[in-house]
Amino acid sequence: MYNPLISYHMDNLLAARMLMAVSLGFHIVFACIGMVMPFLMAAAHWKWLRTGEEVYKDITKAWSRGVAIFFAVGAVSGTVLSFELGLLWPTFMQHAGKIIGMPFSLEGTAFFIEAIAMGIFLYGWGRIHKWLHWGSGIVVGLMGVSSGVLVVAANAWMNSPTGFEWVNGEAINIDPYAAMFNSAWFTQALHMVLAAFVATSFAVAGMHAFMLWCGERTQFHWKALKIAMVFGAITALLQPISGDISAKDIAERQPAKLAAMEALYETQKGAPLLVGGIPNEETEEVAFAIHIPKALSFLAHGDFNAEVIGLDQIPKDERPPVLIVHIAFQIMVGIGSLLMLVGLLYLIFRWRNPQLILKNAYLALLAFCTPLGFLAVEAGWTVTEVGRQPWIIYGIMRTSEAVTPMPGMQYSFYLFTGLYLTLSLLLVWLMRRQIKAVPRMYASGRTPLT
Amino acid sequence: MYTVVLVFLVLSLLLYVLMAGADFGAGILELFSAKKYRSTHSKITYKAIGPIWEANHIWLIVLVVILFNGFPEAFATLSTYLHIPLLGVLLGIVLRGSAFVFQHYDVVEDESTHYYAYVFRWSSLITPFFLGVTAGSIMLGRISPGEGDFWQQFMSPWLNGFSLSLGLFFCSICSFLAAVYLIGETSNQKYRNVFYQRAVYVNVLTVFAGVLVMVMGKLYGYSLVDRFYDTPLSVAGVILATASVPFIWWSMGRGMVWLPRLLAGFQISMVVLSWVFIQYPVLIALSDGRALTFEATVAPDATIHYLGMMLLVAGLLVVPALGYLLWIFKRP
Repeated sequence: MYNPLISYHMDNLLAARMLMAVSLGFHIVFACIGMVMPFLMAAAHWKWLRTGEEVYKDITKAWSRGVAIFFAVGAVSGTVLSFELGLLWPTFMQHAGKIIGMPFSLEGTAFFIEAIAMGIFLYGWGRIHKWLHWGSGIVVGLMGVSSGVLVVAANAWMNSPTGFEWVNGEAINIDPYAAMFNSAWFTQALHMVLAAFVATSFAVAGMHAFMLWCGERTQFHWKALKIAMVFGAITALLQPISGDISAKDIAERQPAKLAAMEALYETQKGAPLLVGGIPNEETEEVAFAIHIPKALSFLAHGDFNAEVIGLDQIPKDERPPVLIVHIAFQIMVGIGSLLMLVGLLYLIFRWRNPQLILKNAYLALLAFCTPLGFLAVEAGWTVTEVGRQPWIIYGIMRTSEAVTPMPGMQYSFYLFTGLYLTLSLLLVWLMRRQIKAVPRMYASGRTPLT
Repeated sequence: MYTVVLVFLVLSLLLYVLMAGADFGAGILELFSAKKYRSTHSKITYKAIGPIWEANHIWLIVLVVILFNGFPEAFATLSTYLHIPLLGVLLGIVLRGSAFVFQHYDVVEDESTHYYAYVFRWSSLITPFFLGVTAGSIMLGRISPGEGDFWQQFMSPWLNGFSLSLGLFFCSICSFLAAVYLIGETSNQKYRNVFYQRAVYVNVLTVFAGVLVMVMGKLYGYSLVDRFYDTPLSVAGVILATASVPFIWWSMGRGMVWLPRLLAGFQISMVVLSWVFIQYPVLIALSDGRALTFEATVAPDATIHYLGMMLLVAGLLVVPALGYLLWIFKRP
């Protein structure tokens, strides 16, 4: 029978989920930039301090301008998330808050020092010893990566809940240390840090490549591209290894998530790997997929004939949405593979004949890759978050049990979506102005390549 | 460790008010400033808070983490029933941070600067207002979890004269701190006088706002006067706060920079501490005389143990770093 109260609550849950997704999806872009740019800047900065070539100072300062803006937006969107944990999922926080507080308090500390170091770096030019100033930039990077790694511990705990006993709907015998050092932390943290480097480096390199391709063939863009691509190419090659480690881990710990990722409906030995494909959740069939026989068993368990658990072994009300998770996974892996190849090409060119990098074809390819790393990050987060559903704490608490009883979440959703959309548009506009201003503001932005 | 956690809770609240509060106050002052002064005001503010504002605002995150880690049931209750004013806080934080950094990091200076400045000023008012409203709501005791309709559960606790007057009061405190701090940020005598005058006006406004809070308290059944009498420490705080006023005026009149700041900080700390002493042992007052106390909502020992340790480590790392940052940028 139609019960308006139940429908309303369901809509509330969807609105809360969407709001969380938008908030996380928005914030993660800035978090990645905040984690990685300090290292890129430190590289350029170091080259200036060692060689005295103005171009490196120009690059450091130009990048700082953008980073300052992105850092601030990242900080405020992060504040939103810390509140939204309670605003959207108060029941979750009521139970989980006392268990996973440790990574959050450490993250807060790391972030505090990062903000302090950022203040010193951005405003300290000429006010403190030049190497101390450079050091502050390194501290920003280290603290950024630390806070990223620490906050991932909390998310990892949601996937592998440890450090407590769940008795009669309450957590007892809490061990915060065990909770923080849960079995999913290492693989998730590694994958996220590498992803941040790939996404940010390729985005930066892509933008400079685009300017070169457009005809602004200056020292500024060339040197900047080279610095960014060193980070990007190396991490893009490492990321698939990390992905493999993660997949093997999930095969053991969260078979439902792996089954959804791979759209594997039938448990089987010698399970095939699906490339592409659109799963039909009604008929439990996958259309348009390329099947690579036995490959999934091998990737997941290291044995071509190993049994991989399919969705048939997961009760229907415990299955994640397959269509979203599978497609997101394909997008992530597809982009990851492409970036790996583009990075490999870069390293080969750099070693053999750097002039090949400046060929329009390769520059266009790099430019095309600009947003792809971030797209992969969003897709990857979709895989892991939607793939964990219906659980908010895997196997312990459902997302529907955790949501706020306050109705009207759709309004909060509209508010923040509107706000973040406006901010995104403004940021794109600001970045365009900054890039256009490069020739005007920096001599090396006017110096052509010889 | 429980004491450590409580001390850090109060400390992060205090530091947030003294440092981020002043930050907001600078924006509020700009909002009510005459147009002719605005541009210079903005430049002085930027020079004053540019390097330190991001760090200043993290005290709020520390506060939130201590709450959800150490007193999770209270955090859940707060987040559920004060959802709307907390949204107001967030809206102000996001708009303010973005507007501030867009204004000062855009490569081109054109009309867009005026829009950012406009958003900055108004959002500087929104956050402290709703923070004050939230504080008022946890004092008042209208929160009734699971009882009544939407209005009673989610609106009435904060949309009332008492909470709103507390929002106004907190805005005045922030503006007062900003006015006193900003005097020393410019060597231009004309602007020093402008800030001095502002400080006078806002001090008077704060007194009126305080009286309004007391009156509203009486009207809404939360007698602040009675509670002061019951809590000697609070009375001491209020007396000290009032007593410091003439010293603040004297030191400002003498053209000093650091003494008025320290005294104003001291005064506001006394106000905040008085509140803490009235409120304790209650964390959130509920309807019908019930309450969520610190004791009742505290997390298990293991959690508090780790939280306390983390806070001590954090304090040892952050305080010297913050001191170093301030020293680099505030030394004469």
